[in-house]
Amino acid sequence: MTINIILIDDEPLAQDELASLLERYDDFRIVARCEDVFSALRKIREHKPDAIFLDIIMPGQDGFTLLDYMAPEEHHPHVVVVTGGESDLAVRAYAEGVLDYLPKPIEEDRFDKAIARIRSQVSNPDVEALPYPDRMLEMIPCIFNSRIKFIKPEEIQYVRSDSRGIYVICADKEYYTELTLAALETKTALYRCHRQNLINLAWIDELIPLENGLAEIKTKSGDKVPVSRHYLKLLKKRLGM
Amino acid sequence: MDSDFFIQTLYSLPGVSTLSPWFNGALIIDIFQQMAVLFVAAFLFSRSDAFGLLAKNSLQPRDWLLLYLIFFAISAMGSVLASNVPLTPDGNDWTQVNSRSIGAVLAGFLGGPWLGAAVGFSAGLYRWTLGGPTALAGFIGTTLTGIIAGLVYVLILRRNQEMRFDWKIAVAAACAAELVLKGLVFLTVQPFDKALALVQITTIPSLIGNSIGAALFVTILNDRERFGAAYTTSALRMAKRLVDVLKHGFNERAARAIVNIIRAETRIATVAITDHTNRIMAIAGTGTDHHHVGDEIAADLVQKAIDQQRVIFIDGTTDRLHCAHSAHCPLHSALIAPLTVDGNVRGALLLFEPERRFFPKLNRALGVGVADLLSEQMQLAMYQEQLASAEHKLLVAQINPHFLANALNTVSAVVRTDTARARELLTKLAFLMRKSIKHGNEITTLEQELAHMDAHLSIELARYGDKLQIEKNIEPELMNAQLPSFVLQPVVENAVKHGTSRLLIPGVIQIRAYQADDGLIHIEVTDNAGQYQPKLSTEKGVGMSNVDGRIKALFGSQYGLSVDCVPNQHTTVTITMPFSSGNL
Repeated sequence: MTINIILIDDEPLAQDELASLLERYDDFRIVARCEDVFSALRKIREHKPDAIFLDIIMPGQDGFTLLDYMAPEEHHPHVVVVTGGESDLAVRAYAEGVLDYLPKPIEEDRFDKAIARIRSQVSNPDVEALPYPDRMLEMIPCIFNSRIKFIKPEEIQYVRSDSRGIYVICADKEYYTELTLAALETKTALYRCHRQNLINLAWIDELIPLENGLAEIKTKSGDKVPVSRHYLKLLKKRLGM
Repeated sequence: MDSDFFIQTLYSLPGVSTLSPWFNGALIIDIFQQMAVLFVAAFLFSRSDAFGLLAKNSLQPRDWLLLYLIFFAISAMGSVLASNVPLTPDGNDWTQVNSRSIGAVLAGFLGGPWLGAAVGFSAGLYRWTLGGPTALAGFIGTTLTGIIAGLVYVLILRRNQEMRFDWKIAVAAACAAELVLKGLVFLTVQPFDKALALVQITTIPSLIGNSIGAALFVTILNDRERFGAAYTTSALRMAKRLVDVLKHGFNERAARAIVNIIRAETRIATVAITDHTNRIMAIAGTGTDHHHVGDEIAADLVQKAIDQQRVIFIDGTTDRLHCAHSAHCPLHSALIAPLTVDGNVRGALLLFEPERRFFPKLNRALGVGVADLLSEQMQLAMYQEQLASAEHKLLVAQINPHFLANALNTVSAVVRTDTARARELLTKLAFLMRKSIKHGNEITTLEQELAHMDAHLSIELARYGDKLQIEKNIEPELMNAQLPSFVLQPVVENAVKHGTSRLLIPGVIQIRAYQADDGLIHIEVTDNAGQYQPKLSTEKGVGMSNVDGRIKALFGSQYGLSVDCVPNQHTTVTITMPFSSGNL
């Protein structure tokens, strides 16, 4: 049985080092390498790896936030934290529900133990990855001009999902984010109004009924957001109508 | 005794006005004489230590006893000094116009109801033993007035302490007490005509005398209090200003500020501070036409004060100052106090007054106090300096453990594929370790600092690979410029740690060193992240302020570090310093 791994570390040589250590195990296969939290989110969705090796101190966001950005029903790989940071990160790592913690530079004995742990977890189909923390997000990380831009959920009018990805729309601009609609729905107060849209209730100006039990929301800055039949009922109930 | 005869006698007393029986000039003069004695008592009391008891919050039993005795003495004196007004030819029957009630009123007024009652009761008792028709009224009345004044204290003064020395309230209390006393005469003296006659004769003089007495007594106390308070306020303000000045260390500028503050707060004619070579660091006041900064002043006396480590005072009369610079120097009296830190003389504080001006004892005490304060503050500043230097050593001696762990991790990756490169990285790391173990608060050259920075960057470059670029532009003629050690590497480390390492795109760090048109050296470290957020990172704040502090310590406060951040564009940290290539 092959165990699929993603390496997440902003230092290329640190990735190489992990790759070298993993070479000794025939059943482990590296399916992707990432240098930041956002590409990691994408790759995890794409490859659904069994486990990830996660650096903590990385650009923009520390590794732990990766766990925050995943929706509960998304695929959750087992997490092994690898860090050169202070040892108090270990305490936090276990509190976040990770499988193991490896300080850099990595001792082979400890690495072997981490491998054994991953094997035993993966080979037992009843065991799922430990639950990730369930916290509301105070900031939504977006990508804008190759930089990370943080948007407060209350500034978002609505969220749109299309073939290019997920966009959060604010009063003046829209931003691309790697977070899924499901993650945004469960980790913010944004409300589902369509299979492809979330709405910020505080930004609703008008709810306009259309034919066939459909509706449309006009936001306070005049944008229009579709409401599907299924979510209209729930939305009306939520709005006390 | 025939009451008609009694009344007749009363009205025919010398001094009783022909216009009205209420005005009796002789009795008014009599009570003024008593007042004169009272003023002396008030004055002596206000100068005594017992006065301070009134301002205390909790008093010991012996303090209470002292206050009781003082006010009882004032009260009893009123009875003793008062002339007896004979009401019968044999002199067996008489009355008094006296200031007895003042003692009780003031006791209650200033010390509270218990003191008022105690003084009133004993003074009343004493009056009773003297006899006469108004003895009973005097006894009860004096006790009552003490209690009433005490109640005034409880009701008003306890909450408004400053009103204790308000003469209007004192007058009101004294008048009220006197009227109570007269009312009691009606109750205790029979028949009514006799009582009325007594009241008529004594009321006006009593009211005038006692109210003026009470008013003057508290006014004397008030002056003393106000004088003391003003003096204390001024001294405290001066102390605070001096402490503020010395926060930034003791130098010529501080010395100038100090002499100006002392002169402004004390109006001493001339104030000067000399350094450990007896040269004037700063001087202000008269005589500055021929006493200049850098000169010696009263050199033999300053030396004596320093040698003997004691304050020297020249009073200007038995002993006169002789100016070495001018025969017409007006400064004749002086106080010279050495300024010592850890037993080492750092200089002296000199206060001068001209020939015709008295050198107040108060200013002498103040001068000694100020010299002590200055010495202590200088000592404190020295300790803080030592502490800062120790902290600095601790801070720079630490290689960031996170950096070290990642560096070693990098080496362990490189060693698998390129042992020569791994070896090179290890030698760079060893160089960094050596630097951080060796140094103190040293002065080095820009060349050395750049080598240190390069060693650090070579490891960062290995870590981040093609995600980090370094661009250097150093004017070669600056290589010998002097600067404190460990200033460049922390700045560059920050640029990576809090700058480029946060970017999703490749990071670029530019290092420029050039001499600007004004002759100053600018060393700029720019990253393309623009993530500098001082409030969010105290760890960074300490490192950067340490660098800033050491540049300022070496070159002066106008130099140091400045930060320019355009969010998400770039952060530039600039070190500005003078160009000195010689040994500092």
